[in-house]
Amino acid sequence: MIWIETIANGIFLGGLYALIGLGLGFTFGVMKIVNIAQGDFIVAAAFIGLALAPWTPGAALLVVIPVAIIAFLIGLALQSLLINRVLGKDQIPQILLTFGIAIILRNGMVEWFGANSRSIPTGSLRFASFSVGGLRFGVLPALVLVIALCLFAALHWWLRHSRMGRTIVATADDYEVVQLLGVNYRRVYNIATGIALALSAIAGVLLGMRGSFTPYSGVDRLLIAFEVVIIGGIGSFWGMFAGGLILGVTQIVGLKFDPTAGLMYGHIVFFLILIFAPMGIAGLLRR
Amino acid sequence: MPLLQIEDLEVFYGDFRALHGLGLAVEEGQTVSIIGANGAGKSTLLKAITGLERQKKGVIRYAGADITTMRADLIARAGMTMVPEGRRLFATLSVEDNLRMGGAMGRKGPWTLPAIYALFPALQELRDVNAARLSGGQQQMVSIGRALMTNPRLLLCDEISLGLAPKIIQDIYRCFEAVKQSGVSVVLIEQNVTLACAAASYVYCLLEGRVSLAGDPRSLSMNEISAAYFGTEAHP
Amino acid sequence: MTALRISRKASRLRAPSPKLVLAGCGIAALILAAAPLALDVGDLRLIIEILTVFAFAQTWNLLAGYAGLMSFGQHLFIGLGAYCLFVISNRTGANPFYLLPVAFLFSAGAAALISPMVFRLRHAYFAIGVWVLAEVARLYVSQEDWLGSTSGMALVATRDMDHTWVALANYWVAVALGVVCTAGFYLLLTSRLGLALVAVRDNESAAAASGIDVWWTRFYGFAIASGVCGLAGAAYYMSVFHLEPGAAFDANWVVVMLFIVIIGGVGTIEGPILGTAIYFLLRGWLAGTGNLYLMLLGAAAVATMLISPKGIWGAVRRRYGIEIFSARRLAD
Repeated sequence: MIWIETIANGIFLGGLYALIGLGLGFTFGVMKIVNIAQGDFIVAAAFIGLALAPWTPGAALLVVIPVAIIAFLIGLALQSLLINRVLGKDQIPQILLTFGIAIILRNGMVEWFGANSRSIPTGSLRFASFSVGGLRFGVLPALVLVIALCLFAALHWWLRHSRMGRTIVATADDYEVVQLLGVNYRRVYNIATGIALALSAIAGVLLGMRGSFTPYSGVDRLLIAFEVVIIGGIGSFWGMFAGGLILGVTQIVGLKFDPTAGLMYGHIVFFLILIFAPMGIAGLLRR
Repeated sequence: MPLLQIEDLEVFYGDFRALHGLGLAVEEGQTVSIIGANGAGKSTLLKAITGLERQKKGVIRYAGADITTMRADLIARAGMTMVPEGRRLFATLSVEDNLRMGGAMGRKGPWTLPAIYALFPALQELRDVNAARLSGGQQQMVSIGRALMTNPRLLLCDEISLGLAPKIIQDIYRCFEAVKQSGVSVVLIEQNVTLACAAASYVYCLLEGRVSLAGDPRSLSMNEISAAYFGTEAHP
Repeated sequence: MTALRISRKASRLRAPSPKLVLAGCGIAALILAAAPLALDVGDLRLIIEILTVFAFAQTWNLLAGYAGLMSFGQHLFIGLGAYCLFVISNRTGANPFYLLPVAFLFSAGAAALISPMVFRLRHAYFAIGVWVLAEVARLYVSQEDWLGSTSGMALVATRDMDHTWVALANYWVAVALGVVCTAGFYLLLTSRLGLALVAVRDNESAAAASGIDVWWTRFYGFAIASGVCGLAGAAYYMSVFHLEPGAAFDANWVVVMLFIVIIGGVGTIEGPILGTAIYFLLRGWLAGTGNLYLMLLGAAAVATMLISPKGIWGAVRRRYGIEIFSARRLAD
């Protein structure tokens, strides 16, 4: 019985991990850029959420909306002012630029907020629980999974059925040809980065509600995001979701055996998958 | 004044000069062919005109305005677009979504989805099929249709016949009659000299980044053309 | 056409002859080696640190600038080299100076072992993949009592040796590392392997088409750079006598390597020399500002990418056509 509960909790966490990976995977899918600062933006979003939390007293979860909007605007600015200037065949400048931004962000947060561990208050939601068939689950973790699922589905639908979504997909396929059709691909990139950061910000706030964070948590967040994308298979939407679930379950089960292991078992599973299924879950299914 | 006029165009790839002081002109409503062997600079020329290639010197004038340093998407919005070499469809989108992308910027004109389906009836049944699954000829139709959906004033076509069977090439080239009638000016890049001469009222031949011959194809002899094409002396 | 372009570019650059360059390196090394005659222990310490950090940076440069392999996990090898040396010396009582080659082999071997896995990843994914391994190593070492867990371990063997001699020996090891990472890398880059590395970096398919085995070329580059990085890590921690997982496997090592290489100029041997000087000057000025100083390193990396992606030396080379360590010249 305890194992069912553990695995269910792993799935709840995994949904959130998938959401963490979504921002990174989306950025890479559209622009072939890996934003190394993604993890630190996730943490920054949690700090913004912490600051805005008093404004939404009754419904703690609603704070994700203003944070997502702010993150979207930051994404627009980041892409248009910085990343667009180093686009090109050579990937090194993009990677190093975002690495530099990550260092600035991380140490800036230490400077402003201190290195203490924090958590976003959620009031009564934090300890609320429900029971199914004699097993007890937290309401917040379950809600977080539902939100993650909805966001995955919404993004998927929007990319296929809206005009802007279609333009983003076309730009991802061939950024040169879309220009011949009157599309300014840099503007598309700005919007894509805005969306990626908004998604990451939602993940960051939810993570900050479920657990705790410090300015140094960005590294772990980035590594999780990266593992989710690779496990899922680069470019695969629902593969990413499965990747998040695998990592989440691995971590919760691992911690049951070995409470001090941290993310170690997740990392090990990641490498096992890399050895046996280098194209990720999507690659396995395609075969 | 010509619709498109190019003077002294030079394009560099690093230290390598792909075009040397090239000049040409296209009148409104005209169909012009540009022929030349591999590496003569044909594709480089089109990339420079459409703004995809930005390392260039010289003057490119379109509809009276200097567009030499203009961004590619703005040039497209001004009514010049290209059917790129190798078709380059959006592989994750369906046929109809590929065509819709052409209409995304909303230029007004005769070319709408029904008009494209009337031009290429084969595409009507394939509208929901993923573009990557089509045959080469069908893909070329989508690529031309996508470009027409922008309602261009000037349409540039890069190596449309490349890698297609003669029968299919014929089918596709037939569409240019309707395109011309709708008032669109056309520039055809071709390696296939016969096709190029048959379709156009004026021909430029490129050799090593320069214009080696220009004229009305009906007044040029095959001998002259092949000399300009291969860079050999003409045999009278 | 391509060959013509390269030779024309090369002829624009003024570069001294390779023999002159190596002779210059030799003289610089001799002066450095004799320096303890005129310096006190505190200065020696600083020079040891400068030279080992320079070695870290230069190995990162060899990977990112020449082998086209950017790794954010090179602190893995600093930690592995140092732990290898400390553990063996403490267990067997062996003189740690004799164990330096073992640290090199251990780190290079580890790099060789993980290559089949991480080479499946490209670009940023490779960079982060190695980083994940460094995290695994840090978490593992922190848990194991025989490795000293989180509190780490001290080097026992040098306690009973003559302290002046140990300091001098550490110093000379660092000087030797400095020489290996300039003259040694210079020779490596002008060798067949070096040329193959650059060819693979510039154009993988063209390199493969001209008969270069892309995978093995990267493999040797990765193993050598990581081995030297581990060796430098062992030398660094030997000179401070104490080792703990949080410091040895610290991702900030990569921040430092990256800063030095980027500011100086990635893909040049001169760049990291310049970058190391700038780094230690900045650190001296900003001592005690903590996070502000790290933020500045990040900002400098961002600014360099926006202004001159090839770093200061890259800009100098383009502007004035000066080059000291010219691999190109030897290649012609």
